[in-house]
Amino acid sequence: MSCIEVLGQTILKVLTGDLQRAGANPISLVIESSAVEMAEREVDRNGEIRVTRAEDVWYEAALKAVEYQKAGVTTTLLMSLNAYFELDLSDILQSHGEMRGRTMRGFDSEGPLNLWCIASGFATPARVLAELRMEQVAAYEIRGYVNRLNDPGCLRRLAIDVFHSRCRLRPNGREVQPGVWIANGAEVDQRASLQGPVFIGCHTKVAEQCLIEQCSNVERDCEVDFGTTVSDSYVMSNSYVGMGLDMSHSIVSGSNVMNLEHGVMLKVSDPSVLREHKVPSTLRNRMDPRRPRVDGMLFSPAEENAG
Amino acid sequence: MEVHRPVIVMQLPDHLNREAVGEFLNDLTPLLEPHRPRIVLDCSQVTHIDSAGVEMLLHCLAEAMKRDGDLKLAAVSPESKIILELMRVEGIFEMFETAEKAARSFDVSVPDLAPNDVWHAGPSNLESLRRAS
Repeated sequence: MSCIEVLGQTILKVLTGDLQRAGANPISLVIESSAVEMAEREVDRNGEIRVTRAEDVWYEAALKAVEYQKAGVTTTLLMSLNAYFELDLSDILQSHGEMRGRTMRGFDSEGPLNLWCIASGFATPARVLAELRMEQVAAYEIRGYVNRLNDPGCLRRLAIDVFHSRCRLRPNGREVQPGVWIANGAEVDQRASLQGPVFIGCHTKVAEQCLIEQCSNVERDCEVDFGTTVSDSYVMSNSYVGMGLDMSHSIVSGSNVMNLEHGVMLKVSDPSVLREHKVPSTLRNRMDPRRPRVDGMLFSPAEENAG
Repeated sequence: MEVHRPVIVMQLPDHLNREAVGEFLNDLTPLLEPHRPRIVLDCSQVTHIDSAGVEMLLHCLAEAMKRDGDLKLAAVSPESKIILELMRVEGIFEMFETAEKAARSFDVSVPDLAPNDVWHAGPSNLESLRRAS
């Protein structure tokens, strides 16, 4: 979930960015082998974030914690990126200090989260893991935004919460009109209608007579073909949505669609309806990466202020 | 006194796609030719439906209505309903939970449809159904 783009950015990038800005150092990212390449693309390393591949991510994370302690780190934050939460790092560290170094676990109103703050003093990864499994730990209440990302519907809720400013995340694009965000390289036909709040991702194409509305987010490298309505839906990166369709209350990824209203997921075998979509690299290179593109014309500050 | 035609119930194949549509239409078209055809398409076996399948359903409905008849769908799965919604045709068809309910809906003034008023079309009786209807 953390490597899926939501309104133009991944949870992974946002969380690691937040930690860096808060001064956390060093930062290690332990990823299952299959997702390492994706994670490396997302993380702004600058040499500050170390990405490690592992089959047993928690064991490897515990091993890192022991290494940090041997290098002199006194407090280590261990967290799973399968949820999105907005932390106040200084508050966490202060609370941990007040707990006199007891292992502390993050909680919200729904229960415990996979977030721990541990002090030094653990000689082996096994000891760290045993500590994480303990039920008697100090509780840290996370008062900021939390989304557990348990299922695809949670991703959709996150997108809606971003649109309604219920969390710190903002759409990663330019707000070309109130509630309408368009990312770099997107092409929106002048005869398409965007009724905000909506988000159109990088290099995504929206054809004429389309209607995008009701907190819909169409992520990067997508195409929404002629006359289609996307309403209260999430179109994931690299998806083609065919002509004349009515996509409502759904999450689409390539040829897979999950209808949140009926609770049904299916694979559409007809490529004229839904399919995976890739923007050819040659075409991508011709697009101006610096400015969003609407109506076949490049937006510029002068045009935005006209009228 | 108006004489009602029997309602013909026909089972759709599990794959309603470009490959299967042609053969199915060959079987169904003769049953749409008489005046006021009354057709129920049983969708209970349908596992895959694509744009060609939807187009076929629309074509059959149009043909039935041209002759002052009707065509209804029965036992449409949630997955098939989503495809029909996606393609904006869900509201065009009358849908029922079972073929029996769909058949009964044709004549609300006669709630107890007699068994010989509903004909189930199959490979063995298509020709005779066509002649009889």
